[in-house]
Amino acid sequence: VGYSQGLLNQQVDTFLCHQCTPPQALLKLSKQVGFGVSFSDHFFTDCRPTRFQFFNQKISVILTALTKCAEVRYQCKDNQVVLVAAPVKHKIWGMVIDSSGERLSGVFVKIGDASACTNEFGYYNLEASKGKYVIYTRYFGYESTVAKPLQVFGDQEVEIVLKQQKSLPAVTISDTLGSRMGRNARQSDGHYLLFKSRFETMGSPGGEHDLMRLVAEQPGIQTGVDGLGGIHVRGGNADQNLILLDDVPVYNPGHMLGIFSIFNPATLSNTKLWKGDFPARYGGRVSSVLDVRLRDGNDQEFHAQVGAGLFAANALVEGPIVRGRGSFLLAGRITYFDPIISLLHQRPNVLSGDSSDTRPEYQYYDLNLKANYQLNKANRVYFSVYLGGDQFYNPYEITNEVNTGGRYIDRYDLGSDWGNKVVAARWNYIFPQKNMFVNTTLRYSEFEYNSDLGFKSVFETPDRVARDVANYAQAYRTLISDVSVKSDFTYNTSEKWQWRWGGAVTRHVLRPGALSVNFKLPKQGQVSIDSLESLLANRERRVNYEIEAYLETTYSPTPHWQVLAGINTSLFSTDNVVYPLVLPRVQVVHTHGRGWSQWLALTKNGQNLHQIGSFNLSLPFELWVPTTSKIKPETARQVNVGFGKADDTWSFQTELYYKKQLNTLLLRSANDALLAGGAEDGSGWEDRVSTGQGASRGLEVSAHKTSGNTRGSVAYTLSRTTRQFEDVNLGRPFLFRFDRTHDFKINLRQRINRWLDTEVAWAYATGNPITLSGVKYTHQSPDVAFSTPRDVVYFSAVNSYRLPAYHRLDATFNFHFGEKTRIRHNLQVGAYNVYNRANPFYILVDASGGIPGKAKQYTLFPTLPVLRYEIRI
Amino acid sequence: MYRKFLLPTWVVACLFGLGCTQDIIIDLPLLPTRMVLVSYLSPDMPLSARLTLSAPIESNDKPQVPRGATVTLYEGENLVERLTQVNSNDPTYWEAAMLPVPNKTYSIRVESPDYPALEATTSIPPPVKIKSLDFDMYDTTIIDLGDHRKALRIPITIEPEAIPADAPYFAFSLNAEVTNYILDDEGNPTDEINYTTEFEPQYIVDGRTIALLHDIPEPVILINEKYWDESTRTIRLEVIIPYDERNEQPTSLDLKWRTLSPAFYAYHLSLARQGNGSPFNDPDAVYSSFDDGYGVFGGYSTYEEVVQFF
Repeated sequence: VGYSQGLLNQQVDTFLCHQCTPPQALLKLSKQVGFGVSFSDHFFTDCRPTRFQFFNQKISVILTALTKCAEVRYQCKDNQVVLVAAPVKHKIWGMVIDSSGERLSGVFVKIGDASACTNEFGYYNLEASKGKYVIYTRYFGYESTVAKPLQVFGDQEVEIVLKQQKSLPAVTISDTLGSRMGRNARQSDGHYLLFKSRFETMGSPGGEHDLMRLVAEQPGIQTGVDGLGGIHVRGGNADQNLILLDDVPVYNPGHMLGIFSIFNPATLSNTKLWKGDFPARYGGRVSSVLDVRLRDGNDQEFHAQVGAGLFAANALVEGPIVRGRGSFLLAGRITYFDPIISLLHQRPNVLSGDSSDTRPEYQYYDLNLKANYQLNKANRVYFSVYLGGDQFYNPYEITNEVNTGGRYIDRYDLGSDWGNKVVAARWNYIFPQKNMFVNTTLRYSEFEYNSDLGFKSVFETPDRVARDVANYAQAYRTLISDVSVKSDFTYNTSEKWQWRWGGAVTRHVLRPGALSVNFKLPKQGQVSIDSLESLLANRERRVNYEIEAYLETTYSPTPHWQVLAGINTSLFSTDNVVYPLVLPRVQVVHTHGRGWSQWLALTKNGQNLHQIGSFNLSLPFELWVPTTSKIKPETARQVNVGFGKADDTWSFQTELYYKKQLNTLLLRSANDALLAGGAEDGSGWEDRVSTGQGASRGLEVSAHKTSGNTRGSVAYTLSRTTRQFEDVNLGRPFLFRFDRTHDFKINLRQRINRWLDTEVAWAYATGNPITLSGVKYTHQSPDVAFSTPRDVVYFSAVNSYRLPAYHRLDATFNFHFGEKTRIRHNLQVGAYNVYNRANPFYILVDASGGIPGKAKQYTLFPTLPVLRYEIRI
Repeated sequence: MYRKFLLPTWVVACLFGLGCTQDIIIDLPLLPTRMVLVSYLSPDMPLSARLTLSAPIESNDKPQVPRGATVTLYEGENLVERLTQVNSNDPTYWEAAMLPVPNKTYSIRVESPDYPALEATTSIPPPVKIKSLDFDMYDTTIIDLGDHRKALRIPITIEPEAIPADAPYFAFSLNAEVTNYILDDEGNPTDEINYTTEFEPQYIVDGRTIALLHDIPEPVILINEKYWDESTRTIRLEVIIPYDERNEQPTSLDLKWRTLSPAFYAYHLSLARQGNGSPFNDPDAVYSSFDDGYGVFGGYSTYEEVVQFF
């Protein structure tokens, strides 16, 4: 406010104006004191006549009181007071939902000049002046604009209901044509939005729709062959991905060793993916965040969905608990592999060698339950449970005839089961008129792996008299579980500043691997009993506490610039040591006309929980272990810079990144005798871990066509990832097992008519590096005269040989029937790996084959049919 | 037996693809044939070596010997001795007469007209003695194995005199001696010794220890350097010595404690890390003392302690 100090500070003994409007009072004051005043009458159209009465007050105080009811400010110059319009910003907040009551995350909302995106719970807030507005929204799969005009007259809550588009477009990733920064596939805070409808049309083995296959389509993300071994983001290990199911970390996101994910597609809402440059509110992992949210369930009417593919069937029911206030969702999925396995198992397998007497059984299952209830306008509670796991059982017998007569019958019973339990109780609270939202969650997450092996050996004499020779059982257990409470606050102080802060306290319990043996025959190999009991008496159980806090802000100084800055801190207590982690993160984004945008992100991430295996394949029996006094927290620094362009039809972006990892872990296998059930005893793991570093750099290019009847995407990654450990590969750097120099993915979707579309996808990637050798020699001790020679296969370097390139073509036809009726049907038919490419996931060299280069190649998936039928009511 | 179970769960993944294994021919990273030398220096033992040639991995032939090779030992720059093949039945075996001593630097050079020369340098580390070798008589037990077979179970604790921070490289071996007595006519043992047997006894250790002990193709157990830390300065073993209670008596336990040169340790540790054929447990690179060949030229010194049983 500019003013003449003398005039405004002048004291007025008495000023009285009974039942005056502000204009009347202003004119009276100006005459009484003797200054000029100018204003427009319409400034005060909402003001009512009031009694004004002041004694011994400064003029500035009186002016402030007189203009309080209007959105004006005053200026004073040369004995003249001028009133000018000064619109007041009012707080507008609420939820964005669809017609079923589903809260929608990541919706772009624009009211006047102000805009915002909804948070994970569909909450938005922004500020607008008084006036009449059209609310503009943009969200994939929903009508773009809500025509209902909004009259802003003060702070108010506005619930926005979006209407679903009748026909589902098939866009790979949400472009951000409507987003505030107008950027490309990469969203305003660095995430990529993965839409459920997208992976429902992709070809996958047996027709099992899977979120992880869509994740793996993104540039910069690698998997093992056909998905085996988890996802590896920008050269990171699989355990370096923070995978959240409704904000609860999941420790084993895969079934069948990662080939399928645990996420039942019917239950999913949209998913956010960050490739390293994640906001400060996420912590605990160094490579990526995959934030998977379940749908809330329809709070208006009951619906059901049943689907079946070649391998699994799923069912879902949802509906209101109280119409418009609460809903539930219940879903299950189970596999039926047995007929397929029986069919394939007519021939000997790797387990049993030449024996054909095997009866393996395998299945996985998932169960989801989610419920929510709105207590009142400000309070909503949620409860969700996930239970899921894998079960494997393989009994078989091997018979060995003895030359002297009789035979040994060895019976093996191997059973393994593993799975996750995830529970979350959540409370959302909106501070009325404070532009603040708080989410508090009580979380529980557990992953357990159990393996049991029974062995019984019977000697049968020629006259069929049987005698037990050995009979014992062996069990392996490993577990990780967390209990935590977490609170997250969202607060907008102004149009330019948005804040988030929060914290969590977590209690981690880990059993890094315990093996035990029970003998069932009396006096059976007592020396061995003692040995094994002592050897395998690993009862290690660790309890760690972690406190995490974060603060992040989004600052938009102009419509074209945005700065996201934040800091994530944590304290991790272990072995009487407390490790602090301070992880700063900053992103700067600039957009300008015609859809162009550029960004730069600098990120430091850290993690205190690690899954250790020989080569970080994230297999279920690999051990989850904490940071300890001997093992420091893993950290990673990443810088990425990129630019993109998006319009209504096309989007394009390219990004460069460099990531440096420190304290990366690798478990060195111990004695063979400790391996059992595919698992490895965790004894002494702290001293078997190698600590090293990793580096990854790459260029990612992608383009999407996002409208029209023909749509598709192309993604290419050029990258190189290395690891270096002091005591691996003789201390020299070596290629990461999931390093792929070139990675190219293309898919094309064609809408043929209202009820039929087709999709073709092709992927090509440089083969994974593995360790192979073509040379051997004989080691024989010179110290011992008659020492036994031993063949040594000479490996000159780790991962110095590349498997043949991986490539695969998938094709599907998707039929949609009854789109306009209450009962809808979807049918998907097609083929996975259409041209039956034998992509090797492992090569076993025959060291005594006599034929140069002879090897046995293992392939996971030949051509597989894709067949899936779904009915939705 | 355990090998049957190494890969069970991942095989689940193969269940779809049991028809998906196929024999293929690939271009393996074939390296040219090179000489392979395995030779150790140890005090009071004549230097010996084994010299062979590498072979393609598919070869089933016996190890070949380089034609016209010479093996020469130097102390510093000075020629010490030329090794000779002493056994015509075993042309891979070479020997010298000299007895090396600790703390001196020796070089070995192998030359052949057909292959690049091998050259490496090493020394014998000074022996780290055993500060104490304790066995607890009160915890010693006798296990009944049935049929007159017994086993003496003796807890022993080995404490080296020092753990060098920069080279904590050790290996050990155990040898038990059991005396067999002549039986009299009534089947009772007499005082007359029939014979004595020596063998490597089994032993029991905790899970961490077994995970950090490596079986190597030498008559010793290699101790991983990570075994040692501030709180772990000893190794505790429970030695099991089986015997026949009617006419046998365990009489002694012999501990040989080796202090290893870095080359000896690195080579054998790399051999111990060759995986187990699992696709999920890849092998490590093999250490070589030679730039243009394979094998090891290392040294060790031995300290011996014997425990007598009465």
